[in-house]
Amino acid sequence: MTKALTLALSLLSAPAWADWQINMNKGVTALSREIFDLHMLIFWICVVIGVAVFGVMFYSIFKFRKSKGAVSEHWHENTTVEVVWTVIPSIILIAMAIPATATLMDMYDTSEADVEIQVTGYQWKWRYQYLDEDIDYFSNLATPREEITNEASKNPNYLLEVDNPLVIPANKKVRFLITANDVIHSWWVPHFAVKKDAIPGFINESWVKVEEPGVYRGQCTELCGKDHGFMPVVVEVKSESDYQQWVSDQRAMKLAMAGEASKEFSMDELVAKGEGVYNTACAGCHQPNGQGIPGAFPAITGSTIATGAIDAHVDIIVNGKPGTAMQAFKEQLSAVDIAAVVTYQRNALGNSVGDLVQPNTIQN
Amino acid sequence: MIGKCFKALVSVICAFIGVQSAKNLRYDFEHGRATVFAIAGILMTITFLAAIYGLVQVVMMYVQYWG
Ligand code: HEC
Ligand SMILES: [Cu+2]
Repeated sequence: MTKALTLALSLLSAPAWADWQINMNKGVTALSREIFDLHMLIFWICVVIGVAVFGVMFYSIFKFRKSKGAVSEHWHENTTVEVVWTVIPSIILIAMAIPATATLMDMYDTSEADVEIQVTGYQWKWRYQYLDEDIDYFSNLATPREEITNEASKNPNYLLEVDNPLVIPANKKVRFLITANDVIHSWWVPHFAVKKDAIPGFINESWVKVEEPGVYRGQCTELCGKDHGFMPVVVEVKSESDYQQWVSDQRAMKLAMAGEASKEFSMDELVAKGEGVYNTACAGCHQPNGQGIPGAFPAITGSTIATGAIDAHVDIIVNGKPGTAMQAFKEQLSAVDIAAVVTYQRNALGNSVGDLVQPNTIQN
Repeated sequence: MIGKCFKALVSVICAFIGVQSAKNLRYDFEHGRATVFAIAGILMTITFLAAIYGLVQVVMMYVQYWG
């Protein structure tokens, strides 16, 4: 008895509840709090109605039970009661529609944005394109494979970490244009109260204005294939000045990358670089050991393409193979990355063709 | 005739909100004509849609943004 009581008490205490959060997030934006408040308002209205309706029902069942000699009455209608139970719910529904409409209007008001970013879902990664800046990159899962295969213990952000997070400025209205490249995905960041389907051929809009710099995490929330659970969303909100710094860093990086592409690389450099590219961009399908998944994804080890003419090998990576899961990587990978991954596939994973390709031959 | 049509319309409105008495139902089945009810039903549907459309327009007028 005391045990049960202690258990009940500990369940009621705050820390226990923190782990057991089942309610919606308050979030970190004015709009997310507005949505939260609307949700709670409607929730409490439903609670009151539920208690009242079920209260009357259970009371009647108990009070007028057969064992007490209750006899049912037979009558067909009561127009007054029927009008009352039609009019009252109508009034309640209209009363709820007013704040709900106001909130929806705010959610859909994407006008006067300071920053505009196109978000595109791919199998299985996100692409972020800043429409006013020349910034365009992919955001891949960064959780180490050993954690996924239970060879290492999982970190607190397991499957919620990426190589290149989306970066946005704090206290600025950021508009998202959300779409997809292959199948339907959905871009979701709970703390922003933003969850929008990313549909090929359509552009859905959403917006956010985050007050506090910080890192906010979300996930793809539309079942999109094998690695649906492995394409998280990470948003880094930076102060205005940090954001500007980041933008100029991105520009500098782009210039540096263009410079790299004309450099000559050694075989070892390419293979080392290619291993990293392979593990983030290719291993999901062709598997870390290059064996593929029979029937779905061909093996790279011993592949006729990966051990055959190098031009065809480059081509299938640059342009993909239409109609299959082998997508065109020309937009996702730099010339250096493509040269590196081609060289890696030809000279590792059990292959030893012995040739290499330089980034400058891939550019054109 | 006008009176009968009016009664049919009232019955259709009652049907829209789902409240009707057995007395009226009997009357409608004994004296009413199906076509009259069908026409009244179509008219009410059009009126209902127009009312929803108008309501949305009024709400939109109170919203500065959204074109
Ligand atoms: C989404 C899954 C997926 C990813 C990711 C992927 N591939 Fe593929 N890849 C495929 C499929 C499916 C095929 C087979 C296409 C076909 O039907 O011919 C293929 C074929 C290939 C082939 C030809 C193999 C052969 O023998 O037919 C090469 C080479 C290749 N991929 C390289 C890569 C490289 C390099 C990457 C990473 C940059 C990569 N793939 C990422 C699915 C994928
Ligand atoms: Cu997805």
